[in-house]
Amino acid sequence: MNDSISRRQAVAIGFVALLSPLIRRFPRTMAEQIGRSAYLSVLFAVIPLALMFLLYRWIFSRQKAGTGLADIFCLSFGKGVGRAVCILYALWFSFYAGFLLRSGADRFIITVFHGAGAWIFIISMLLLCLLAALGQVRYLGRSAMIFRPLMAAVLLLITVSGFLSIDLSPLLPVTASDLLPNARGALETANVLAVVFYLAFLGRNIEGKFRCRDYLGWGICLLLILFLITTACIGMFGAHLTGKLTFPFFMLVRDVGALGSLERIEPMVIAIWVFSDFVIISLLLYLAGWLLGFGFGMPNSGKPGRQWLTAAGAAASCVTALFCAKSLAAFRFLSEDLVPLLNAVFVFAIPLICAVTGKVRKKL
Amino acid sequence: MKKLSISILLILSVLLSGCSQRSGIYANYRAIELLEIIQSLGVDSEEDGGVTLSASTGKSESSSAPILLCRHADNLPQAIDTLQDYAPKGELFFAHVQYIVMGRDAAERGIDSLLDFIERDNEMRMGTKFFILRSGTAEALFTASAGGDITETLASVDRDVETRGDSHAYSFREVARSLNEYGAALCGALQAVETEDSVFSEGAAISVIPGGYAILREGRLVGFLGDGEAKAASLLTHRLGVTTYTVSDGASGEIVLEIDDSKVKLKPVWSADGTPGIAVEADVDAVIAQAERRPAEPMDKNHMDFLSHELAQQLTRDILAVLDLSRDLDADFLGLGGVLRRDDAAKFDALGSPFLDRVSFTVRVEARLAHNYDLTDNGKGGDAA
Repeated sequence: MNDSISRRQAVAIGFVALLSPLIRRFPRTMAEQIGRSAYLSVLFAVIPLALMFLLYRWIFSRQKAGTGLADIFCLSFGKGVGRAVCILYALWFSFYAGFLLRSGADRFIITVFHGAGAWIFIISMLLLCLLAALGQVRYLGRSAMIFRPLMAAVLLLITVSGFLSIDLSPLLPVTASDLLPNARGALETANVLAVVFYLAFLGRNIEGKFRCRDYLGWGICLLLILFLITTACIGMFGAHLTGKLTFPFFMLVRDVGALGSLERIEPMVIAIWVFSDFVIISLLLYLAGWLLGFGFGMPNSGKPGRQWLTAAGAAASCVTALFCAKSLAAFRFLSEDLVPLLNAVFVFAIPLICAVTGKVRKKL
Repeated sequence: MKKLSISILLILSVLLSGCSQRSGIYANYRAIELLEIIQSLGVDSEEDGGVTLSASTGKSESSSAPILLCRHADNLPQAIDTLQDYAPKGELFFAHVQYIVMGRDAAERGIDSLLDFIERDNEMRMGTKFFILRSGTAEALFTASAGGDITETLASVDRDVETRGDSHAYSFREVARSLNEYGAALCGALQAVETEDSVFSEGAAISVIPGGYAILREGRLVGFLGDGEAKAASLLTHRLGVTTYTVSDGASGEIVLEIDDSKVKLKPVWSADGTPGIAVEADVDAVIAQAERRPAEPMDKNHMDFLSHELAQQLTRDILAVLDLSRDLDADFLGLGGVLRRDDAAKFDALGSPFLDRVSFTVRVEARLAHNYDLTDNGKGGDAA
């Protein structure tokens, strides 16, 4: 059976998947690290994102349709090393999926279900995602096409309504001394948004040639939403309080209402993030299973062997989610240090090395 | 396989829905018919360091009187638990609290613990309006208002001050933001009054009226702004609405002027040696609301100019009084530091802290009497005859 998705579906997967890691870091971490001008880091992030865009465009520029990043690793590094790198990516995706499971559970516990155990969220979400990951990627594409307009509409409505009641004084002044922290913030923003480049592994499943420019429109839309969220939160709470609250965006949603008849909509908004968790974790588990299969020499998707490997990856994710952070400090270390660092290595450093190696060996 | 997958998905969806009461995540399950929705809270401090929490529900659809509860405990979360123990019917639900009133003593001890509780709690909202009583306790206010509905009274005050602008019902978000940004904040103040001689229909024995502003510095109540000063503070924070001022008419009587429009600019001024200053430039439009004596002749331009000048003088005095109080208390509740910082961050940072004692103030108010309605004392003799 043909398991392929259109470019539009791939873009939808990217958009929906990004919202889960974004809300973990934005706008709290940026406000905490940068202060009142944190919203600028979103604008500055265009520069590193454009550079990454150019890197991936160059990597794929001379490849034929249906080529994925895994094929390019094998082409550039050689078959043996390329497959080993793919297995490394599979391990990272399993770990990252586990971390996102835990982070999604913590989001529920902190915002709505105070005092609940994380395991029930982790197990039920993992099983939901595993079912999706064992199936075909086109189902994920169709789901994302349904989720995307809903999530975009909710986000825009809330951020615009929050934006209308902001105070400008906590947002200004912006001085030259804000440039350096914002440059660092831009790298972090780009690092989070760069998760979308993992879709490059789906080259075999995306109809036509993998084209980065397909993602440009929705990428700009996402940056705009991120800019509005950050500005609205800092404008309403001030940078200090935004940096203190665990989920300032959901705190903002608590006060959003209409004419006194529609209030306390935050549980609905928080629940919508389950869609984002579902898409990104399913995608990561799917990729982990597929890359393990590729690494071990059974690249054809749909084989029972691949499904077992996906299940193994999911088991590793489950263990990671249940045991990765026993304390808040450990979770913060994972969320703010280790995961961003590993993500930067896998989404940027390794593809860069691959590009350089391919150029030197005249394979790309 | 497909049917099995769909079945598993549906079962797992139910697990995430909250439709059961058995395990941990269903702590949030609540039957709506059993909820007692708290709309107003009163917070007082006690000598032993504990708190007294007063809670009032709104009126139900059957117009029965609101439920009122007051309990003392060591801290706010314990007080909420204790209130629940004494709740006569259902579960107390704090997600729709609209107003929190704090007694004067509690505010003098500090609002930090209350702010912290609201920031952490998953039911409370940062948009909840916050008032401080000029005197007395919230408990006394809540218990004395047992015949009426304290939430309706507070909502009425909220609407009134919004229209007149002689005070403002600040939310916790605004108070917290100002405290974080400037170390000081304004907060709506309430004056408890006996209704015995004023309200003759059935209702509460004690009510509240707007009481200007409370001034918070580093989370503690340090003073109040009343009447003219409160109006000046509203003018400086762009919140002055339609409000009245009484000025001398130049002869023996007084004239009540109604301000119906106002604009104000706070301009940073830096002297050559880096000394900061704030120049306040205000423009107000007013009309005559009432004259003690009807003038014999239609008011000429000179008389109108005189009244405008009187109004401008009074506003200038009030504005200067507010600015001086801010300096005396070293409480930047007007965000003057922000005005200076936005203009020149380097110069402002060089000032260090405290900076208010080095700021000079100049005030220029331009008042215009837009309309006098020209009601003369015609046909009743006197000079006009």
